[in-house]
Amino acid sequence: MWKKEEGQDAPPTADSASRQAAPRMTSGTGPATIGPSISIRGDVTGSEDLLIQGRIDGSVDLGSHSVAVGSDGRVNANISGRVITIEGHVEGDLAAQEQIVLRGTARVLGDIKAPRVVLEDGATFRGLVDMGALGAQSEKGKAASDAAESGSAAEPSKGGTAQSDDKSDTGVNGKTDAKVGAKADAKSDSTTAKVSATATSSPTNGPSTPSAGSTSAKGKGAPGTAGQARA
Amino acid sequence: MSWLERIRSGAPRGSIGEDPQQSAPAIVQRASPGLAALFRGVKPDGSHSFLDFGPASNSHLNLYGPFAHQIRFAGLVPTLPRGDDWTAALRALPPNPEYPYDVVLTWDVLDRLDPRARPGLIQRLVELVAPGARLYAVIDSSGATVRAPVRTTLVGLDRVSEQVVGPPEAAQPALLPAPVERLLHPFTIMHAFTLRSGLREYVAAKT
Repeated sequence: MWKKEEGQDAPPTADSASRQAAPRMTSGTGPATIGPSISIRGDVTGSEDLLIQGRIDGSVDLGSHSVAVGSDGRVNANISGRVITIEGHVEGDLAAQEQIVLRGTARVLGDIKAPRVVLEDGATFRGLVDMGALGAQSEKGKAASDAAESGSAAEPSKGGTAQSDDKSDTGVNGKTDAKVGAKADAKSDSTTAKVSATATSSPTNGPSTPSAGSTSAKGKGAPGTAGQARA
Repeated sequence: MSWLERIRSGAPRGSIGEDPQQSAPAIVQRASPGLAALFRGVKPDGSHSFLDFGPASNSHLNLYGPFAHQIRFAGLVPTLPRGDDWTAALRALPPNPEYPYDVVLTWDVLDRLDPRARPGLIQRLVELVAPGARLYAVIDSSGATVRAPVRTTLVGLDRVSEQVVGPPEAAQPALLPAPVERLLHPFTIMHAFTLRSGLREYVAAKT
């Protein structure tokens, strides 16, 4: 998933499912990325996979798509998605339809809910694990997990045209308000690149790339503070 | 002195005995009849709610999996909060009204806790657990005056590994069986095992 290769349309194997869980940054391909210098306060939603290397305060809801918090990621938000992989710091609840993986560098404070949970050595987690699908519904959950491992899990939609939405407006305070996200990758899985969050951007030291397909970030809270993204 | 005794006392490698072959390994495994008794009494139907005072680990998750619907890792050991921090941490343990905890693993918390704080722990557990809940606790009755904090990890339903994770600290006075029984009330001791190393494992149930 994260590293899209030629002929990847074949059904995923257990091994490939395992690889999908890993946040692997590759140049030019892969999931939408919130770069290390990006800070978002608000709700992030979308219909493609997302790698978070920056900071998010609010919520992250990727529906049936995967979310990865990279080792530089700092998330103070509830996260939901199909597969959630954490390498960085998260304070909030995690809910995954298939699997949650806490890598060795992960620090998570919150409750997690998924049919399958993996805690790698070194991962720090404090909270509640709801293993409903492995517990009370064990056989059903196991069957679902086995099916996922054997490759019957649905692949995220592919194809389509990535579109960029790099609008920017001048803010009243002289800063630049930019529509976040929009450095869409031509090889991205996404069908659209529609980003609705308002970002307050300032000069950055590098090409920080909140590259997003159809990922959107909506601000919430008090007017005027909504959807701020600082680059 | 056995490897286990030495590792629990935090003795440095080679400090006891001259035979380098007897140097304490970093991680020691031991049998745990107490845990075996605990899990024997829990039906592996995936309906239970676990409260583990230790840190989260994948092995615990996998071993609890067949039994548990929900597992809370409190992360209060091996680095035990002290004083007000302990009180706050205990208060912060959230109740689980939908699935009250019915299996609680306190590891060596009771043993290391300030004696004045021990009744508060039991009182808090009484508030959090379901009727009939089972409690597992470890008490060091070896009489050691110093003890290093040890991270205990389940490697099986009847076996654990122990690893020293900090410098030795002054041990609390040894808890004898009768005071333990009084302390645990309204939990009733169902099983108690004394190991060669001086550890005592208790399995109690809330009446």
